[in-house]
Amino acid sequence: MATARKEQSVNLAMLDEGRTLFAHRCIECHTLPVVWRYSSKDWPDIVDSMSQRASLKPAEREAIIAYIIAVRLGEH
Amino acid sequence: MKAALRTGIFVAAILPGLSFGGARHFGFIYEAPTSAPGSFELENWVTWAPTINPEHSDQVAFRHEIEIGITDRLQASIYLADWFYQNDPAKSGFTYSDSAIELIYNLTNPVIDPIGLSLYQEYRGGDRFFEWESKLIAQKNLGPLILAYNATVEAVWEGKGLTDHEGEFQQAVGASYEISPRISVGIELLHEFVFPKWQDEEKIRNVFIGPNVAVRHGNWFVTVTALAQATATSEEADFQVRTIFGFGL
Repeated sequence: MATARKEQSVNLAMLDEGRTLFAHRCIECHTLPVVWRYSSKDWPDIVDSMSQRASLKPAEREAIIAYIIAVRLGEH
Repeated sequence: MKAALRTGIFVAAILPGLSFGGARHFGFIYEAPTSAPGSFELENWVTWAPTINPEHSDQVAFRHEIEIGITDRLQASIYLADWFYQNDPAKSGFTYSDSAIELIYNLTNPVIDPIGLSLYQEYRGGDRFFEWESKLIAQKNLGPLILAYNATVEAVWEGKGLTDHEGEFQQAVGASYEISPRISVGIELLHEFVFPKWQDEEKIRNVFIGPNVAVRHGNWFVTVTALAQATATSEEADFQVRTIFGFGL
């Protein structure tokens, strides 16, 4: 399993929630960017910067970041 | 109308720090995604509808709408006031039209499902006026491209005793392409079937088509759509230019 920020453990349920939130919340304002458009280092800051606009709770924000990083890891 | 505006300002004042409901990519077409739960947004609409028919006058219509995300799939809106300015030699001036409640329920997602679908229901009431409107919203996101389709049925009762009635079926289709994370451009087409007295004897068909542009940044967005009438219905405006400005509260 991938590891998110602060060495938080990531499980399948969290990744599934992250995928759902990524697909639902982000498209309220813009189309979905492909995950390799930004680096794994940049994604947490990008999601953080939009989390208030998208009404993301801290756990939801972490789930989205974990999902994106897991997808990126899976592509390498 | 003043009471409704005061209510809106009061509600906005007691709910500080809430988030953005989402940006619109189209001016005349609804999109399938609903607002995030807990989001709270104020939208102001201005629609300019000029006509060259000397028997009719240009009109500028205004709407002030509060959009609230209820759950992950349910969104509610309150139209605090619809009002308009009419430039008519006989009677120019501002007139309050109506207020309304709108509900949108999202069924499927336009990215992860084959097609995104939502159901829309609106009830509108004013002085000697009541309208009921239902809509099926379909959308598909293909990378930076958003394709949207609306099928709308509406029924209007108006006049003294609400005895005058009219129906309309409308199809709308649009495309919006995201040229940058903050800017989208696209096209919209409306096809209206109007049924005066709920009859189709007059065979009134209207088609409007034109471009749109949407800009978003931070917790605000602006969307502008300019449509020209492609049919020859003298009762309808020749052009419609709609600007929607929304921001999170």
